[in-house]
Amino acid sequence: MKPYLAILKDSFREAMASRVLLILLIVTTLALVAIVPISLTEKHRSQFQMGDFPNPPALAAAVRQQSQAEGSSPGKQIVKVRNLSREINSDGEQAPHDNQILFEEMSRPRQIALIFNEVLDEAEFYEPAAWEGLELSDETASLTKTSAADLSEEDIRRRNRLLLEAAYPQLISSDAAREVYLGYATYQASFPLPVSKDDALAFTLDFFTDNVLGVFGIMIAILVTASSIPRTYEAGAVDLLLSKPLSRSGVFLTNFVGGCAFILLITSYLIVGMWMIGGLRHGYWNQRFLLCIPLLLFLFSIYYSVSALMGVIWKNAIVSIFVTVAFWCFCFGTRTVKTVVELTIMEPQRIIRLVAIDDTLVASNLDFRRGVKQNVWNEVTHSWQAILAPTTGRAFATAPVYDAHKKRLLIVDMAGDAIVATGNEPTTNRCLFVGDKPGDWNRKMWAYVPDDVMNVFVTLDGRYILVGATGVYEVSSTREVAEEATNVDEANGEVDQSQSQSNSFSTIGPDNWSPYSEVSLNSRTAALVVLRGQNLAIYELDQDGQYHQRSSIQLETDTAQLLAFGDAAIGVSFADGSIDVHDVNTLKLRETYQPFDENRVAQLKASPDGRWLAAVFEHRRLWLYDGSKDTALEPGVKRQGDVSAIAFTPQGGLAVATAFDHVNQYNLESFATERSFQPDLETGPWIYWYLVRPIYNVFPKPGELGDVVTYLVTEKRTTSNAGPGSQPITKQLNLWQPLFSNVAFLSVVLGLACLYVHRKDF
Amino acid sequence: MATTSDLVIGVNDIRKTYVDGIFRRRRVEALKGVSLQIGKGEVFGLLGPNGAGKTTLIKVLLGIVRKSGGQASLLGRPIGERHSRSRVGFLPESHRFPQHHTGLTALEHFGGLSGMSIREIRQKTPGLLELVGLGEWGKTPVKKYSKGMQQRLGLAQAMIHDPDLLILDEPTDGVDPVGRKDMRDIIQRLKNDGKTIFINSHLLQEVELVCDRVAILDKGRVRRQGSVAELTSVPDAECTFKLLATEQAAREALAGHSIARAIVQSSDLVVVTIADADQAAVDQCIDDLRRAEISIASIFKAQRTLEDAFMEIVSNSSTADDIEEAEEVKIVE
Repeated sequence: MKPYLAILKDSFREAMASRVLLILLIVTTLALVAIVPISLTEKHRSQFQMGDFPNPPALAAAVRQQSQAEGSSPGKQIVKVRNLSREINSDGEQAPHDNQILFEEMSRPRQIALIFNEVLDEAEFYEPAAWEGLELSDETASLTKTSAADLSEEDIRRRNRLLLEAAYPQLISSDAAREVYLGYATYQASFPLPVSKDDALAFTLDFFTDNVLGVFGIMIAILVTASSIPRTYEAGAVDLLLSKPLSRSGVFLTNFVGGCAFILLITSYLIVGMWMIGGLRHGYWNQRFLLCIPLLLFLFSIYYSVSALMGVIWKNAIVSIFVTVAFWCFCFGTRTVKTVVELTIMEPQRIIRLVAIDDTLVASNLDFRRGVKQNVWNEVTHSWQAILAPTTGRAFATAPVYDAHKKRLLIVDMAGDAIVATGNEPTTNRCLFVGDKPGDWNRKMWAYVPDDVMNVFVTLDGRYILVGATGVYEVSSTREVAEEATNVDEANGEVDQSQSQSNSFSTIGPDNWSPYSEVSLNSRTAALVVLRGQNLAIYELDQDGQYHQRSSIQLETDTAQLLAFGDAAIGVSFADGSIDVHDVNTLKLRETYQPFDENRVAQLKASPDGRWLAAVFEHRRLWLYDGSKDTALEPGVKRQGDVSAIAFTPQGGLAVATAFDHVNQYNLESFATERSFQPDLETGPWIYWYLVRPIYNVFPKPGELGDVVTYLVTEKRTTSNAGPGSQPITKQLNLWQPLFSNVAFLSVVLGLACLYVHRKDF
Repeated sequence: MATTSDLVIGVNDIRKTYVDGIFRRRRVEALKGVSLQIGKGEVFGLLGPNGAGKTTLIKVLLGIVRKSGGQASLLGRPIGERHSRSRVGFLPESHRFPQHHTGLTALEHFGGLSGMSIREIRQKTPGLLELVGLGEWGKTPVKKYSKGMQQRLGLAQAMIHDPDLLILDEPTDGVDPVGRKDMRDIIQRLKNDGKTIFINSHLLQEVELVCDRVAILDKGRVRRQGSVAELTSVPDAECTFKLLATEQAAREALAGHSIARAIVQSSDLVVVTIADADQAAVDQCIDDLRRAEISIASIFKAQRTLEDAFMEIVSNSSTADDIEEAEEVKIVE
């Protein structure tokens, strides 16, 4: 061991003698000193932005309905404050209280943000009666108990924002409740960043580690270390070395480790320095960030292995650097090509929703240019055939539902971008569209729908139930006007406004219905399970055809997200990745499952017979709950881990979408494949599957270690980017695969180098 | 000739062919069946012109180059074993010390490579530097050393771990006459300590002065090997005795030998020349003269220098190889 330690020691002696180590330590110190004056001042986020409103028409409708109803309500308070504001702005002159204009304005995201921001400043906005019966968080309750006179301006804005979020839980996003002001020394930016301080720090560390250190840092490290191994194997030096009682592979590997140890020293100094500045200066002590030290070292070792192999073969530092940079460019290039091909060709084909209809499937995909598209499987052409026309209102389209009695698909969508006024009531042009099987699933406008409608359901007996922020509606069968439906021009979205069908619905909701965050329907019983904050309630239809609340419970947290209503159980998914299974009759909690740590559920569905609950998680793994046996399992379906959508079939099977646009239908008892829906490959997908992907898989993926950095820093296994409309694109961070593939690559390269030095005559 | 237990280097029909070129079609036979045996405590010189295969043979012995055929052992173990290399000190030709070292750190580094502890190295370093004449240069960076100083330091690193065998490839290359003298003294001292020394050189005078036995390698083959005296002796040379005796007494004493001529220089001083006097004949003459109680004033026997012997052997080997190659061509044709 002593001889190898001598080589290791000599690496550092060389670095010290050449002053490279000293220079790098000085540069690192200067960089650390330079970031010390950066300041991050965190404040509660109160200002609304456009993205905070996922469905402005529904919000406008909810406010309108509340403002027109009896008694106090948040909607009335908003109107009151808005009118008060207008009076003041017009210098005491009485301005006309044109609420209709107000509601029209509120239907637009930009306007609604302006209106709500005016509300935020109003000290007298809160009236206890208006929020009576609503779920208020501890912070909100605390702020409302304090007199407005005792609250600071910031507290008032904070209180009003929380009140609005509590009043319209599904209609106002409360994801980012804090904002941060960036500063340097005495300067402070006047505009905030819409993130919390911790998120800002995590993002900064992630970006710096992944992009600055992961690219430029590694390149500098390669430049600094590239000459070490070629010098060792130069004629005159190698003879002396190999005459000693050393193994040739041992000499090479020790030299390699020496280079890595040198970089480890610099990286440790930098990362620990950044970590301490984050902790001491900003109170951000993220121990996981320290794991970036070995990770960066590993990343360096991958490139350095290439440099070392070239150094042994060519004994020339310039060749080593050139080949290593070329290797980096190749890795970067293959990853970029794969990403571009996936984003532009493959992802638009990915099935994001599945609906089983009779003996075939309807799959939805998200085309970035044309919005959500619905497709039915064509057995003859072996392809997904577009149906129901491309939607134009991307943001407000609901998932398609199927009416098995009438062989009809239903979706709620925008019929155009214009706001339509009918009579004295402003409304949007949200419509119920249908596509009938005999009509080749062509899209027909069936009726306007109330503009607060968020969900559409079809019961087993063929009733259409529409659930909105302000009520529950049913389509009146006597008003069915399918034959008179107006064809909507999909190009310009024009609607024949002479046929107003907005009265085709009757309200069947209970009087005390309030905005909710999630709802699910049991298609057999037509019962609804509704989530509002921590409250989980079941509504059933009475003999008069009206919904009434049967029972409710308080959940332990207010982080519930999705619901599935089966006959045997109700599934509730939470933000921490857990799924609660509740008894249908008593609503009591039966069991809690958390199969994939903090990975959240992306889709949660119940089988028509109520036996099964199926969940697709953000990292695309499928999970099943068997209500008959009260057991959970992770089924061994093909490409488990790449599941993007599921649907229970009427025949009792489970359709699972994987590999972008492939679907396999499984028998739920044996999980044998009953049927496959695999479209014939076109040129783009062919290039992806047979060219881009194999090349990418064969070669190492150092760039993907950035995902691991993101995970270490943010502790999140997924990243979400804003997609078209309101649908975020959730990307599962690839944590282990890059580690494994890079370890394999590193082993192969070092193995080749050892073999070379072992056989070489020096 | 060394016995098996005393054998330090044993080389039997060692061959080495370098293969080169993009398609590995260029082949160079560097060693064509070399056999040597070097015993414990010997100072052995390997002579040969440039390109004879001397350095290749050393590299084969140390495992730096793989042999193509034959057998060889180093310190009783097959060549290539790490254990045997731990008892060998090597001074390569045209070596290059890492430029960031001083004399002291270089010895620390190479001592460490030989498995020595820091304490051992630091105990030995000052004396060793003093021995090779670098006592005052230990803290000077190696890059400031002259060629001769680098050779001295090279010798020091070869000796630092007290090896049983020293392999010195062109040790006096670039060293001034004073340095050469110092190096010869060191070699003599090492020999006295029982070390075996293998010197590879084309400086014949140096080899002649320090080596017990010598081998001449040319074009990958050992052309001659033996003691320096054996290589430099002239087989049919005359031997001239200056005797304190009368001519008659001298002729009577040397009656059994072939007397070429006898020249009387005075009444009791005669110079007798014996023809075809090999070493045995010379010895017999001395015995016969002493038996006859004749005093020998001087003996002179004609001898070649090592350089003469070397040139003759190399020249003959070239001619022999030319004939051999011509015969091979004939056979092929």
